[in-house]
Amino acid sequence: MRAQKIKLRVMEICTWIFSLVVLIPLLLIVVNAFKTPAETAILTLKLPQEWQFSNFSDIFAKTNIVRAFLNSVLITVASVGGSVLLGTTAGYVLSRRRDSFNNKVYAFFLIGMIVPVQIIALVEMLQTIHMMDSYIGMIMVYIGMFIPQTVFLVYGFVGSLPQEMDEAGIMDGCSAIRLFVKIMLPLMKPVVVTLFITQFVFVWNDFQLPLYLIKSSSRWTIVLGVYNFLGQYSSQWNMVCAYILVSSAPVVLVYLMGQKYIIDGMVAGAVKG
Amino acid sequence: MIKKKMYPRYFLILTLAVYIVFYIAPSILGVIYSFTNRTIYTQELEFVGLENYIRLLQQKRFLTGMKNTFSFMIVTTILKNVVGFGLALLLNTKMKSRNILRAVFYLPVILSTLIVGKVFVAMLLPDTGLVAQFLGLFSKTLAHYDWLGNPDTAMYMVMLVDVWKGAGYCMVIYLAGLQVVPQDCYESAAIDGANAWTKFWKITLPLMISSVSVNVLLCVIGGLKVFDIIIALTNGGPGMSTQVLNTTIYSYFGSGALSTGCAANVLLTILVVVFFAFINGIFGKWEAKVS
Repeated sequence: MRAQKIKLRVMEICTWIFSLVVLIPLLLIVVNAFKTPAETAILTLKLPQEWQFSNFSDIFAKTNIVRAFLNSVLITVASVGGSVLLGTTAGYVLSRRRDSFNNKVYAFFLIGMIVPVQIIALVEMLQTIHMMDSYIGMIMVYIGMFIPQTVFLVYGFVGSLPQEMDEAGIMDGCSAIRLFVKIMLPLMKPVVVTLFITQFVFVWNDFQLPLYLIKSSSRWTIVLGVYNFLGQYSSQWNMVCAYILVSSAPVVLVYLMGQKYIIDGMVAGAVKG
Repeated sequence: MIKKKMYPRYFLILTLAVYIVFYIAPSILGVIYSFTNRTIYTQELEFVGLENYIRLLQQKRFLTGMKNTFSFMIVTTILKNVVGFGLALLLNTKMKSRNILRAVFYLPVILSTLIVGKVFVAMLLPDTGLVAQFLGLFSKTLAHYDWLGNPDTAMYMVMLVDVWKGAGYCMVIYLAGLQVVPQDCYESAAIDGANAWTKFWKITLPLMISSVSVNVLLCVIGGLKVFDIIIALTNGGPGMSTQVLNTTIYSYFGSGALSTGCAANVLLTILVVVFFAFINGIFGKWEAKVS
């Protein structure tokens, strides 16, 4: 028993040493965000001689980080909200009423789980309908991309809810919309939170779609902001690190708040296959 | 009757409309364009048959991209799964700090790939990067080596950074899978005198097949579609040494060869679907055999 405890201790210490591989790059960003430009000429793990909080006020004053941040908030929240709204209604009806038409529709949605986006054709199409380089274009593309995943997870989740819930509502004379909004939607909270977090993190961090679909710097998302900022300020890593910290804060926050749901959602996904 | 009233089809209309317009339509359009002569300069669209595809298969850029995509996909899938499984086994023991450690190893997953890539570019700089500072403790020549600037090592670096970022995801799915492995299996195996190695191969792995299949599928599809990490680390270079399918599509797009890019995208889609079906088939058979 004792020997086992020691073995466990040793394993724990080794895992912590291994975790340095993950921690060191992250620490590097954090400490260098508080240094002077001279100190960050070479990036080291040394603590700053004097903590420069002014780096943050500088990037707010000198760059368009606020604009990019707000753009990202708008695009992310609208995309995820739209995907959840459209996905839950469809997934719920498809799961509850499995006639042959609905089964075909469900299969049609699942195609999108595998097939990747045809990105050049997408750009061409958005140009034709005048949605290129616009918020609404970006948002609709993300919603279209997420619908299959949302429908799939909601379909599975609603399938596990007892039919009696609906019947009680129907007995009380609920209308279809009332039944969905007042009874079913609250019950779907776990799956909705999971979807919200995973899709939020995806849109916030995405680089490929904004790179293709957004041109004007006034509509840059935060990741495009980092990308272009690095092009300009690659000699001032203190500023770059501060920029990176601000741009990563929301996803880290969302992750910390919803950690439990992420794991639960992934368990559900993994077990159901 | 009641179903018709309570679960009305108009709940589907808007969802279907958005999905068709913004997902299905561009997909179909992409296939159509791939058979035409469309560039940013062409005025009239002409049907050219398989010309774009034939041109692609003769072009070094595309073939190199395909080769690199395959090696990227294979190496990262294996490494992410091995590291992820190892971490899951470690962090499924009764270590006191296991929850913090789980969070630490998952952290790279939620960060932006572009940002991660750019940070590693700074770390891998010759002479001054953090990696070079560390290697300099042992040898000056190693410290001077440009890991990303050298065509021999650039691809391996990209793969390693991708594993750094993605292994935590596999870990979480394996951890979830490990929760459903019944403990009494291990107890009876211990009574029969099985060692840790046998236990892993005869009990853990067979019971974890569904987690393995989810992870392998996600890693393979993600590997085929890789883009952000390449742009962030090497932009496809040096030369064409880290060019992958998605970056070749981007460069066709940039140079205005739209229909050629569409053809490349269609080929990528075909690869994804074929790999999906193939891997699903293998694991499906395997799972059936186990249960």
